[in-house]
Amino acid sequence: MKIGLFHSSLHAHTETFILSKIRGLIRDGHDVRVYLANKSTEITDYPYVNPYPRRGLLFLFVSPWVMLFLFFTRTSVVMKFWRSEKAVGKSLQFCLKSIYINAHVLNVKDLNWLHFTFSTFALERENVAAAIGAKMAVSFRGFDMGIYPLQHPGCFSRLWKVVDKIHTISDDLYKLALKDGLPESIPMQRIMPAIDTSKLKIKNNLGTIKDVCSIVSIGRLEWKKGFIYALQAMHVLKERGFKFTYKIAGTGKIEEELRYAIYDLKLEDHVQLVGKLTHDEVFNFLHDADLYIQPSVQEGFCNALVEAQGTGLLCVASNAEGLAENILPENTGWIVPKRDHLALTNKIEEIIMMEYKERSRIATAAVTRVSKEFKIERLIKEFRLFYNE
Amino acid sequence: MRILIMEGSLNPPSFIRNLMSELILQGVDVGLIGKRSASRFNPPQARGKFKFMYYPIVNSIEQMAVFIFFLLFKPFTFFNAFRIVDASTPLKLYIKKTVLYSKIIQYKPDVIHIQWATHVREYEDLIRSKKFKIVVSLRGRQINISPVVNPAFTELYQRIFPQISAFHAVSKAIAQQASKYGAMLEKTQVIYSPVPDFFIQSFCEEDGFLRSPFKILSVGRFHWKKGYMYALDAMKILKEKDVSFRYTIIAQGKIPDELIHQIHTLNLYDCVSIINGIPYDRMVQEMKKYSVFFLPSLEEGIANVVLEAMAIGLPVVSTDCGGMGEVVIHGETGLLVSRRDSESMANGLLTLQEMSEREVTCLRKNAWQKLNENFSQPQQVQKFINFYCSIS
Repeated sequence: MKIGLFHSSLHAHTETFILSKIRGLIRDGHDVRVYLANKSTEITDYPYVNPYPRRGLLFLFVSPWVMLFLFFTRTSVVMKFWRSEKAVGKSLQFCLKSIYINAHVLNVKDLNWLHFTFSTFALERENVAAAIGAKMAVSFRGFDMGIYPLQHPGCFSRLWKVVDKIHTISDDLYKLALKDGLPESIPMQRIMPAIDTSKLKIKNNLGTIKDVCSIVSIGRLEWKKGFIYALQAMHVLKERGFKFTYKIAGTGKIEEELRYAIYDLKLEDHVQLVGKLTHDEVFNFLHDADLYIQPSVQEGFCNALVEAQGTGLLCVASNAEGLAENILPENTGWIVPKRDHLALTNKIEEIIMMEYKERSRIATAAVTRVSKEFKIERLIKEFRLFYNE
Repeated sequence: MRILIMEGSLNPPSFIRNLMSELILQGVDVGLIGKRSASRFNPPQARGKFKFMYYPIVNSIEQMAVFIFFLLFKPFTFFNAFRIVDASTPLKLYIKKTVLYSKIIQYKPDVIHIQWATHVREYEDLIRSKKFKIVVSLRGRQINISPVVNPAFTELYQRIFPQISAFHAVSKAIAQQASKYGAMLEKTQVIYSPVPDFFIQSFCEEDGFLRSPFKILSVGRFHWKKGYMYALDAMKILKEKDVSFRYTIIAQGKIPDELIHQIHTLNLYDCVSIINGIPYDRMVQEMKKYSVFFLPSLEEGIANVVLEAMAIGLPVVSTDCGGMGEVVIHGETGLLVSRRDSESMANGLLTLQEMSEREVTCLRKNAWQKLNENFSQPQQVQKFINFYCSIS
């Protein structure tokens, strides 16, 4: 089968989720190629196709030839694409621009599936798959359903009419899409992300907490991760006299806000922003901690939370979208309401005071579940079904 | 007297414009240095008492022309300026600074007033030369946040502040904070931002208190320090308590994703609205439509917009951040609530709504009196003039 994945760009930090999927499908004998929205400069080991240059001298030189070549070799595809764009009221200039931007996909022959790894990538590309005669699949990610449509109401209405199959990483995102107008008749498959379980450094004494409880979080420093609520929770914990340290790994736009909050809440001795960690450092970072918290206000699924559970940490997450599916509440971790720092504080307190046996039961269940259900093999198997059905 | 204001832009924010206009009215010569911007501030009734200077000059031909002019026709000034610039400055910047300092020397200001503390980095050589009396304003973010989140600023302030002639602080709290970085309290004078007369004069004792619908107003740009996240959480609490209210934020620019997301997830669409900026001269008219002014900030030197709200007689609920407690005296001129605490914010707003008509009138009158007595523009600007005189 010939599968085209439409993705933003490929680099060293591209999610394991996407890379392992590509690897697995290729191993299965499928012809998989990644069509990029933005040019990738880093060389990767994966088959990918860059878009044609969009600015500079190279653009002036290349674009006429690309367009001419496409018109002559793929006349029917281009005409079909043009007609469908015109049918939704796009101007001539827009159509030409759209043809050029998607030229690297439009000249592909015999593609079975064109799969957009984020739904937002499919916007203004709704007619590409039909034009080349491929079936169209889209993946729902946290940003796609949770944030983008709020600033752009109705942005997916055209997509819902043309998409053939939906992949969602959590049921909650699918529900959001249904609310946004996605017809229930479109086939959907939930495929949860997977991690490289062989790299996990599982803790020895599952469920133990050190005298000074070591709490950690991993994630980009962005508003949607809700770290401000976590810091407020730490402030209350400190006031209640608990001994703890809290470390956040990651960098991002709200670093200044967080640093100020640490100062303002007098948490300098307890909280540390440790910056960005490499993938290997992450496993050590988790291994040395007792408790993992994920206070997000919006989240698609969160791989870091899976890794934390897999390492055997006691995990508390908010009920933002996919997190309540990531953790099995009271079974592999705990879920608290989002935007509620007191609920988070109380839960952390409860866990610290909890009997060791109960904590150990939860941590063991989490490790077992992750090693069974979040393996890459499972992901590949499910995607095989996804394309074959 | 001649004062040179260094602002960064030739279109400064309203509180600096107010200061300059009033200084000119009171007979002071005012110069303004800043970047060339699309629109330029033109003080009313300037009559030759106002001069502006571009810095930096972007056009290199113009730059060289001015450079050569000073070199040929004002060699003494040029030489003096040339000597001020730090020897390690790269050539291009050296030329720019020589031109700027030549202009300053020629202008002969009695006092140079740097409006933003972080700008001292750019003018370190000028400050060190001790050729001019230099005043630095200590304002919110520059003192309260920058050095806390970035140690480079702490180091910068500690290095340069001892060289400054005097400081102007917008509140006592910020003077205290800046003293940690070497801005000595003896050298610091607290002068609150002047509130233009048209705010104070628009106060009307008979204006009733708009209890229902309870209309809450916040004004201020979208920035995390403004605390809108907590404000929205507070609105959620009010909604859960079945309070009939409407919350409006007036701010310029694109609404950040996080606020839209929060309004959506807390289901506040029916009681929160956001207005994209309002011209300064229409502010009085707009503010009068509301029941209460609400400041949910995490940090403020002193929020001018709160002073303006108090001046027109709008009851104020403010967080106890920065210098706010110096003007909003709890239960007397407004209500103070805890910062980063949506529960306390919601309670503060509710307390106000439940106050009797007499109590609210008392609150409004006290606030207005405080403003009228201590913050009127001519009075505050006179304080500035005395301050400048005391150091020049």
